[in-house]
Amino acid sequence: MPAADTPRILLIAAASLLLGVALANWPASLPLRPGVLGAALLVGAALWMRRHWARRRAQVGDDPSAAERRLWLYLVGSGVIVGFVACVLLTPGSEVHRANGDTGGLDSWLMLGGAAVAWWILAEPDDARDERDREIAAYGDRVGYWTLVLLLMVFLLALGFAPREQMQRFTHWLIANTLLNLIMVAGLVQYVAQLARYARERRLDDAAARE
Amino acid sequence: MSPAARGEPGRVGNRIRRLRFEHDEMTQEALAQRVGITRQTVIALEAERYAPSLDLAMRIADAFGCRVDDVFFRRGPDGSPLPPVREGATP
Repeated sequence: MPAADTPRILLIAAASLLLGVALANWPASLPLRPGVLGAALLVGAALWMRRHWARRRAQVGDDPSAAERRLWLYLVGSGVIVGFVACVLLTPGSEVHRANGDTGGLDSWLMLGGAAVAWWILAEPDDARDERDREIAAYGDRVGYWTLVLLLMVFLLALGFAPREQMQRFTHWLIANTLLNLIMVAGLVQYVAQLARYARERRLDDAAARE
Repeated sequence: MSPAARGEPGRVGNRIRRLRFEHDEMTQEALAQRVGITRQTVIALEAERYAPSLDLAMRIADAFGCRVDDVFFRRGPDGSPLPPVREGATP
């Protein structure tokens, strides 16, 4: 079975973001809230991943470690929420975490709840993390840190130098939510970097993969 | 990070796989549990995609009841094992 590689990881990240965007544009006339649908999809994805990895372990013994499993969940979960919140923030008149009006707050929290259930589904009894996981996590932290610095620089420059009329809708609420989303975007890049590192290490000969 | 840890094969080699089989065909899972790492790290070590810390190298050697340089060795530019440095030899 071919190992996960960087293009596939990027494709899954992009698909998660697009799903979030689609949920943000969910027609209000439909009876199902986008947050409920997003949460259900995350739980469904977790159930599928658990089955897929169990099969992979039985067939070729190269299923991911507990740390890598968590990263897949973080990638998909934060991808959906980032896509959703970014789309809500970019829509004039929309805001999140507001009690009234066109709000995405409840839906983003519902999806976060779905991600928590998905985390529980994928949790392993032996949730060990060893020095190799810590080394890859440290690499991901560096990538995430510099991504966040870059994103903050761009946003701060936009706040300082963009034409006043363009920045008028950036209330304190919107700035706070944009900053929150930028942190999540940096996290998303971090997860992609870490998963790519795991994937690279998995490209080993078949003989070593089997006992 | 070592060259092996960066994914460049052929710097730090090991005999983990052979030693496992010489120790009653110890499974990767059993070795992982004995030294406190994940099975996936044992796979990465055997494929020489990951160079362990000194502490982990010692724990692995302990698990097989041998010395660190009985398990790990340096590889030359052509990938062949280099002989260990003798005691008392001038570096």
